[in-house]
Formats: sequence, structure tokens, C-alpha cells
Amino acid sequence: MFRKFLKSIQESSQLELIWMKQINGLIRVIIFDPDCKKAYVVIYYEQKNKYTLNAFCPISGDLYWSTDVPNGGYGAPAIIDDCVVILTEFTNITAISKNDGKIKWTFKTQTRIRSSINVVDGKIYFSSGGILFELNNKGQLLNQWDYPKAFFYGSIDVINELIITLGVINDDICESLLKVFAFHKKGQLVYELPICHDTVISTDTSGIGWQKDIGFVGADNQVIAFQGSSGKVLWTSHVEGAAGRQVCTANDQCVYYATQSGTVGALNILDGSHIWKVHTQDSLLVSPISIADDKVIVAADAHLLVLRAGDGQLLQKFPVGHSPYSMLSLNKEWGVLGAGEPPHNGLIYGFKLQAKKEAFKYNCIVQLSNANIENPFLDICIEIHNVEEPIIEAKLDGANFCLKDPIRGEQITESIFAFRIDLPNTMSPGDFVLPLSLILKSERIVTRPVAIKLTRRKPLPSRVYLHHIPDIIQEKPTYSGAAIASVVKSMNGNGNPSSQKDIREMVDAVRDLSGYEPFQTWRIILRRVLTSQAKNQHELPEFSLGLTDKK
Amino acid sequence: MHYAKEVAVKKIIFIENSQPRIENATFEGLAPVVCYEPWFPRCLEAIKQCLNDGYPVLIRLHSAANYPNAVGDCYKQDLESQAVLIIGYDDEKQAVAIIDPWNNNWGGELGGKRWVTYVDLSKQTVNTSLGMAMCLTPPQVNLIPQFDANQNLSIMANIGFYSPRGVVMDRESWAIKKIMVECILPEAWGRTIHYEVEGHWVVGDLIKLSMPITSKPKSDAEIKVRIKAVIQGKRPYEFSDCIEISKEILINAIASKEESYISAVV
Repeated sequence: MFRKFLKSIQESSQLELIWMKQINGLIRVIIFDPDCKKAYVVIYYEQKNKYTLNAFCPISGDLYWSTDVPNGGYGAPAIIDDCVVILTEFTNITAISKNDGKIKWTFKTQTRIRSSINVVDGKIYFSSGGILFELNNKGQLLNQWDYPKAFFYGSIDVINELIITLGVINDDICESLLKVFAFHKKGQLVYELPICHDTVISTDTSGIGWQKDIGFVGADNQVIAFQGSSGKVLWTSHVEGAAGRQVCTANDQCVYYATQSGTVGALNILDGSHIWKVHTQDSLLVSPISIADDKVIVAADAHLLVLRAGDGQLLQKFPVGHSPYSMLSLNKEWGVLGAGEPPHNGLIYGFKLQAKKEAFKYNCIVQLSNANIENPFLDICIEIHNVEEPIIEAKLDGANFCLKDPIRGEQITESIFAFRIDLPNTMSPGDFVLPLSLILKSERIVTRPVAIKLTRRKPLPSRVYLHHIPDIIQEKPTYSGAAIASVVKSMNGNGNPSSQKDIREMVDAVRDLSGYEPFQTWRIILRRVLTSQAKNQHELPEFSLGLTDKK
Repeated sequence: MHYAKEVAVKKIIFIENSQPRIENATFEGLAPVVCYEPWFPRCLEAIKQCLNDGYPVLIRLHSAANYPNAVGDCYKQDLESQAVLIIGYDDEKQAVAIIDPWNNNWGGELGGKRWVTYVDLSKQTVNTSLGMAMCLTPPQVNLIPQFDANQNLSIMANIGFYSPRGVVMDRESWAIKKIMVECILPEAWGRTIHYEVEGHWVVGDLIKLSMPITSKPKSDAEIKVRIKAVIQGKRPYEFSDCIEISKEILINAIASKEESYISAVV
């Protein structure tokens, strides 16, 4: 369903920022009600192990309600009747009432979900592990299609009588092979279309792009067009970089792609020939391209780039931050995007596709000095253009720099403010986007995004290799983290190291006691096990001091 | 049509780390720090910085169909992911060096040491561009013997978590709560010194101790220092545990006939 929000035919001359809101989490794909009255977004709050579904007004950004659910799962949500259906707990999907945010039902599976939810003809489609599921609007199973040992991911579509999705399978040379899988509604596999050796994709916006019944699959260094009804390949086009992380977007003339090598391009829909391509400065593009009228819009270099669809020429550039799990979602003249600086400093933006060109009000021009991560402070000078009302104060949000309070700017002239920001010694180089609050004479507050690029004055060595770490071989298929932990613990330790089996038992015991999901096994659970002198489960304080009644 | 592409010009320096960062020390337990940088280029920077500081980094790769497991096992492994250890990087190769503990006798060729390109890393790391990496580090302990003008010997100790670049998970709740130091002096110098301090030190904080040891030591000697650090965390549940670091310091002494004076201050 998310793909329908990648296109708008609304006439537009330019994109105008209408509102922006701070959210202290990672913002994912936003979807709309058809009438544009409400929009819905899942926010990931890592510190709380939860997803929050927010319903808000796409025109003002005002929140209607929010509902917390346990986090887990890769894929965009969908709307069916009066419910929003989202992924939860890595293996489940949950329906939440659009009206009041109450949970209606949860459908549980046994394996990891990496598919977006799609709704076709009043039925819900999603995949989990090697199973495609079809449910009704009450969460009851209607049909399922199995392919043992496959890992389905991305979007699921119903083309004529076929259920079509992407997936990977370990092939006869023991490598991960990417395929298109098509099942007949009645159950049998109709075709498998091998694409190339590639790994599974786990994101919210992966899948197949469609224009009528022609499907487009991005993969490593290629985009492939195929006939949905037969699986016949129509053309293959070479592109620069991996194009499979996010879905390709197509219209009647072109297929647009974005790669993890920073290339954005347009291919002729008929034969795959290149119409144009541009290289952004980022080496990583992770959001699908949106099409608005005669423009295409891509998130790159911490900005939204508005390009002319015909030749890729840059027309507008907005600082927005980074959106690894979001996209510019369009509905009629409205656009919304989740970005900012995840995981904790997210920003939701509301845009309007304007038919007439107008000067951007309170446009901020930023000058920097001392913008190196090695420096103890950073100086920023911001000049604000197209001011409608006198500005009496300017405050820059400092959360990206671990500052609890905003930084108040020194007013140099009526429209120029200077800021000095203390830089912690933990900053990484790169682009950061911060909200700037302008307090006007009427006490109205206008918020604008400000982009800052931090660089590294002393480059890291171009090559580092730790030779002292020996080979590591796991004793069982599920012992990978235990094998690493056993070796690393023993490298500098006294006495007898813990065996892989001991560490696996400790991990299992801690996970069991905590109630945490398997996703955390080699992360939060292993961190706790490693932070101990214990050689086995019984030496961990919580198991030796009678604390196990915590559970 | 191309935008101007930024090209980083770097001086080519090769570091071949053959020793752990903290020399002549043994550890019972680690003080791992988990990074969480959803924007992959910054995650990669944090990983490279950690390697440059001498520490390997544990990450999780989506296993899915990469490993030839049995039906049930492949889905179980996929829920937990495959842990691998990053032990190097090479900007020329645009890749990291990893140790994948997978046993190739079970099939496939992914086990052992291999290179994974930065692009593949961004796709395969759980969760794709959601960078999550664990720096497998002991606590940082720096012990410096110092003599004052009157030839009184002290040991300066700086202790803390490894502090990576980027966002650290649970930064406020992952803390050292107590440090207990035992300095075992040579017999001729007298006794063992104990020192204890309590507080709340998170990633980025440094515990600085100045520990007077003796005045005018007579001969060269070795001091054994044992440090116990109590670490508290709130995830996966509230817990408190203790790890131990042992290190020996060689003192080039200056002759002294006076008795040792022992005290400790923060």
C-alpha cells in the first residue's frame, strides 16, 4: 500500500515546508487516509523497546492519538476499513482502530516478518519467513502459500490471479539467491524468476515497483523489468550500485531508482535505456523516489532534493536530516516525511505541493566555522531571509550534541544570529539537521531545519587490521555470538575461559529471565553476560543470589 | 549529468595492530559498549574509530538464506541473526574484515575471515541501515606512576568505559557504580593498599584517582594492581555485577630510607 503514496499527479511548481515537529524516536513510513484527514506513522523508541503508532493531521501535524505496542518487524503499515495494520514483536501483525487507537486484533506467526502490509480487494497480505498470508479485515486467516526454507520480503501484490513477492533461498551452491515468487490464488507455485545472488533486504520500503502489470526489481547493479503474469524478463538495465534496498517508482514513461552508491536515475520504461542519472554526494540512498507532477523527489545528503523528472536537474533542496526507514509520502497536494537525526532526534515534516512559485519565508542561510569533530566548540552564523515579522529570539536545538537545553543565539542584526555550541568528543563526522526556533514579535514561533556538516580534521588511517584475534568457529548453528564471546573473553582473561556451551546457556537463562525477544540475543542479552566474571549461568549473581523470582 | 562528487583525499596510513590496546593487563569480564547509529555512514565511522582504538566490534548479520541450515534451524537463526566480529577495515577495498564463526563443514563458504563491502554491510547488518554494533572492550584503565619533588610515589589511575563516537545505547543507565583498587606492594615496601570509591560514571566519564603509594622507595619493584569495577545496568533487567582488571606496574625507584606513607584521595 505504501507505494501508492509515492506518486501525486497534483500540479506543482514547488515544494513548500508548512510545518515540522520534533519526535524523540525513529520515524518510519507515513500513510494517509484517502481523504487526507488523518495520517499514520510508526515511531520506533529503541530505549523503550516499543513502537508507537501516531495518528495526526497531515495538514497541521497535530496529534490525534497514539498507541504503544511492542516493537519489531520490517515493513510499512496499511489501512483496511477502520483499522491501521502494523508489524509488532518481529513475528506478528496488529490492527489498531483508526478512530481511537485501540488494539483490535493481533495475528501471530513463528518467523521474522520482513514484508510491508498490503490490502487488495478488502484482504490483507503479508509474509513471514517462507509463508505468504491472506487475512480478512478481522485478522482471520483466509489462505496461505508456503515455500519451505524461503525468506520472503518486501511488498506483496495480486496481479490477475497471481500472488507475487520477492524472496531469497539458499540454492544448490549454498548461496542466497534472490527470486520473484508467483503463486496462483488457488495454491500452486506458477513461476520463480531468479534475479541474482543477493541477500535478504530488511527495511520498510523494499519490494517490486509496478506500472500496470510490468514489475520492476532493483538488485545489485541492475534493474530488471518482467511481465507479472508470466515472469518473462522484458529488459535488464545496468545501474551504478545496489538498487534493491528500496522499491523502484514508475510512471508511464520512466522507472526511477536510487542506489546505495548514491546514484539516482531514470530508465525508459519500454527498454530500460538510461534517460538520465545523477550522483548525489551521499554514498548511500535508502529511501524510494517520490514522483510529484513533473518532478521527482529523493532524500539524499541530509536533504530532500527536488529534481526535474525529464532530465534530473536540481530545482530545490531542503535540509531534512536522515530517513533510513521513511520516504516522502504524497497524497493530493500534501507531502509528509520522517527524518531528522535518528534514533532519538527525529523530525516529521509537512509539505505542500504549491502550484505557484513563492519565495520561501524565513529561509535560513547557514555559515559555519570550527566545524571539525576534534574542536571543543562549533560556531554557527544564521542569516534569515524573507522575514515577515521581526524576530526577537532564535534558539537552536542542541539534542544532537548531547545538550539538554537549546542554544540561544546572539542577535547580530535584525536577521542574523550567531551561536556557539559545545561539541562533545563523541561526535561523528557527517551532516546533521537541527530545528531552529524563531520567536517572532507576536510570540508566534516559526521552526526551520538547519543543516550542519561536521568534518574530521585528522583522518582515520585508511586501513586497520587487528591481527591478534584468532580464528573463531562456532560449535552449533545457533552459537555464533557465544563463539565470539568465548574467544574475546579468553583473550585477556585469567584461568579457564567459558565454553561456547556455557555462554549459550547463560544467554538463554538471561533471556528467559528477562522475557526479551530473540532479536536481542547477541546484543542486550550478550552485553549483560559479558559484563561479568561468571564462567557459567550459576555464577551470574541473579542466578546465584536467589533473584530469579524477578521473573 | 553529475553533481560535484565529494572525494575525500586521505593520507595512506596502515595500522597493523598486533596487540590489544591495554598492554600487560588481564581482565575477568568486559565492559562492552553498544552503539546505535541508524545512519549507516556514522555507524561505519564509529566502527572504524573503535578498530583504530584496537578493539573488535560485534555486529549481527541477517542470516536468512545465507547459511544452509535445516528448515527449523534457519528460521530460529534468522530470528537471532548471525553474530560476526569486525576486525579491520580497508578504505581502498571499501570493505570491513570480519570473522564469521560459521562452520563451513555445515555447508557454504561464509565461515572464517573474509571481507564485506561497506555497501553489503549496510544491507546485511541488523537492521540494514540501523547500525547496531557492540564494541567488545574491557574498561579503560590507565595507570601512571608519578614521583613528586620529595620522591613520594603515587599512582594516577584513570578508569572508565570505552567511549566510542556516535550514539551509545543506554548511556545514562549503563554505569560504573563502584571502584575497588588493591595495590600489592613488594614485601620490602610494606603492605597492600586498598582504595574504594563509589559514584555513577557513564560512558564518556573518567574516574580519576590519585593513590599515594610510598615515599622514597629503595629499589626498582613491581606493583600489582587489582581493580574491581561494579557495573550496573537496567537492561535486559536491573542488575549489578563485578568485573576485575589486573595489571602490573614497574617502578624505577629512587633510594629512600623512610617508611612508606599510604593514603588515597580522589
